[in-house]
Amino acid sequence: MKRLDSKRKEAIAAYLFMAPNLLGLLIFLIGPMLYAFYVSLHHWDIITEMRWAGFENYLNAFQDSAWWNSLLKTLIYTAVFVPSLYILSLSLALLVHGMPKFSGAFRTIFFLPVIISPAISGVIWKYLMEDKVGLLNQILDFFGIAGVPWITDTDWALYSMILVGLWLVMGFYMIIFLAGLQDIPKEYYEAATIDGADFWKSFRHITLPNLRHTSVFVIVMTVIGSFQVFDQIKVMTNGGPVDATKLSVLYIFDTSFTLYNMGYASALSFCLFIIIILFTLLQFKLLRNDET
Amino acid sequence: MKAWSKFVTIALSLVIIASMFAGCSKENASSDSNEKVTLEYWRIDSSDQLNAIWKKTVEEWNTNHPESQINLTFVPATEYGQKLATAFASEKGPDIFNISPGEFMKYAGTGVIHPVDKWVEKSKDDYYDYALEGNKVNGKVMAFSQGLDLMGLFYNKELFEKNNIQPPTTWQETLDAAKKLATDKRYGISFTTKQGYVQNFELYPLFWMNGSELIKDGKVDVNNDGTRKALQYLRDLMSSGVADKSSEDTSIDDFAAGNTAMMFTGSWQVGILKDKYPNFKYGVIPYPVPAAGMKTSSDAGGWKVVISAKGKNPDRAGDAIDWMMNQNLERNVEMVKAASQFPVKKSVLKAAGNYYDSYPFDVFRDSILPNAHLEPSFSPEVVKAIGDAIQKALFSNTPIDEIVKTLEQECNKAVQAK
Repeated sequence: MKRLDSKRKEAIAAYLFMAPNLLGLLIFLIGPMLYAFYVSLHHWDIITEMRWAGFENYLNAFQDSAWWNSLLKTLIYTAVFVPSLYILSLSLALLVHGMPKFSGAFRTIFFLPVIISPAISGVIWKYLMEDKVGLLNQILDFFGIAGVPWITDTDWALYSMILVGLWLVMGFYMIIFLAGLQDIPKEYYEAATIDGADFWKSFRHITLPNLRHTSVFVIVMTVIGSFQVFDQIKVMTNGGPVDATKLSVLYIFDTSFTLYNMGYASALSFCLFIIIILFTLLQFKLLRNDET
Repeated sequence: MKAWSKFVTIALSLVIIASMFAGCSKENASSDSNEKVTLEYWRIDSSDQLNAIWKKTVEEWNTNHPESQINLTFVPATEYGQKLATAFASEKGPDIFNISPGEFMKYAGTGVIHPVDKWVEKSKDDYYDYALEGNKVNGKVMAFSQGLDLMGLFYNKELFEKNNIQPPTTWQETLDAAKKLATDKRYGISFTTKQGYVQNFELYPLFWMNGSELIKDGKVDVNNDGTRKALQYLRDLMSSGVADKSSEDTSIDDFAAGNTAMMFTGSWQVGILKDKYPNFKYGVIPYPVPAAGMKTSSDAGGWKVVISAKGKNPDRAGDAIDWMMNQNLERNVEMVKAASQFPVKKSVLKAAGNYYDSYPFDVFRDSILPNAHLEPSFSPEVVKAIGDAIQKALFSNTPIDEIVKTLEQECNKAVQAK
């Protein structure tokens, strides 16, 4: 009886500690999500009363070629962004890890973009990428290279957005990888060197396998992040030129705040939500499966 | 497990019950004539002078009317549309607010705005006809307005004189001038390239000058030569490389800095240029015409003030706005001057004396105003469809005929959905 009591007390204490957070999640996350689902079952232009629509909005989404286009652009963005980010931030982490003397300075420099709001960074990058007087093209001009239409060309715009996206978060994931790298015992590398392994062999057989959990985290987070990318694109191109950068969240934003079609926008948000969940589950299955 | 599931059940039920209340509407305050009421008045953040005049006027009203207090808030232009929409969505919309002609129909056509006939009736002969017509929906006057913004072509006088170029009068001359003046550090011409009702407002005259009204009296008239010519001209301007690819209304600073030789923009910039760049020499001409001998056109816009039908006391709100906007001639003149606008009432124009005699106001008054065409109040779907067409003309290779066909389809869809 005594053991049950103390265990029960522990359990209650645990629930009480979790309660504020859980309550917060329920009220500020789950609650609004339920309301958004409710709105998605209606036609609503914000100003007049809601009209029942059933699943009409979801059916319309299936037939909306502009929505599918935005999903395609989001997929392209993700397919290029995620591997690039992985390689970039891992390289930065290896660089910083290998130079302990300057690591403090480097960590600060690479992490700085993370603390600037994406919207503000977007405004700055918009000026940097300006066709005639932007700094990037002026630098290219100095080396005799023709200017690039970074954000005014339908082919370049998406990749420029990827560049800005990488700049914004590479510092954050560098820190994540650094933590993972620092957890790998030095003895492994020493043993490998004794056995005659070069950098690449150590990297493939020691570093990467030991970074498995970190890698899963980075990949899952960056996929979710790129499906939700919005701030800097909204500020820099607003989905243009000619919808070249109209990714899913931008399409949803336009549907809700330009066309005032709240019901449909809520339905699209749920579609995106489900897509992200499916992708995440798929990743968990693929990336964690061979854990023996 | 029992304790856990109980906890979850109770918490979930509480949340669901709470969310249901979020959708409930609040009871309207009673319109007891002696009860004190505070009315929320939202205005878009404009020039310092205009903001200051409104602050002063509201203070005057508040001092003399303790039972109807007005709380004036200025909202930045970039957030205005969304802030307004979300406020109404959560039943916290303002009692009185500014609205652009582009967004006017969104609110006026859905019963959210309180008609203002009873205040405007007595001075209706003082208004220019087209100004009053533009504020009517289904025969009822739905907005108070003060002044008109007129569009023109602003050009850098020094650059033109230095290069011995005459201000252009036709579309071809404009393109030629832009080509001559564009360098690798300077654009020949700029106009708003970001999609939205501002871009439409600037470019409508290009369609009108060729006889394309796009939509008139609910009828779609898009598939015509006028539309095609306008879109083709836009494409010519952009593809020749002389037009700024990412320019906005706020790029007046670029114009004054000499980064662009010409700019399609409006009379409200006159006040801003005088304030920020008093030594900058610029000229204003009416929009160049498609071909010699044709008539010019201009867009006449101007934000209106409307009363919310869902407000705490629309009657008192109307009284207040009427007092502030219509019952003091001197103040009306001040307001119109501060906004660099042209008055919608004949008495105000007269009282302004020779204010509009100075350059470039005289150009607006004598050459642009007579050919002005009121900014149309299209639904958001139509604004988007037209914007899509303009974007495709400017930045893609889609054949013009295809763009016009899609535009016609989208406009038909939007008009039928009403």
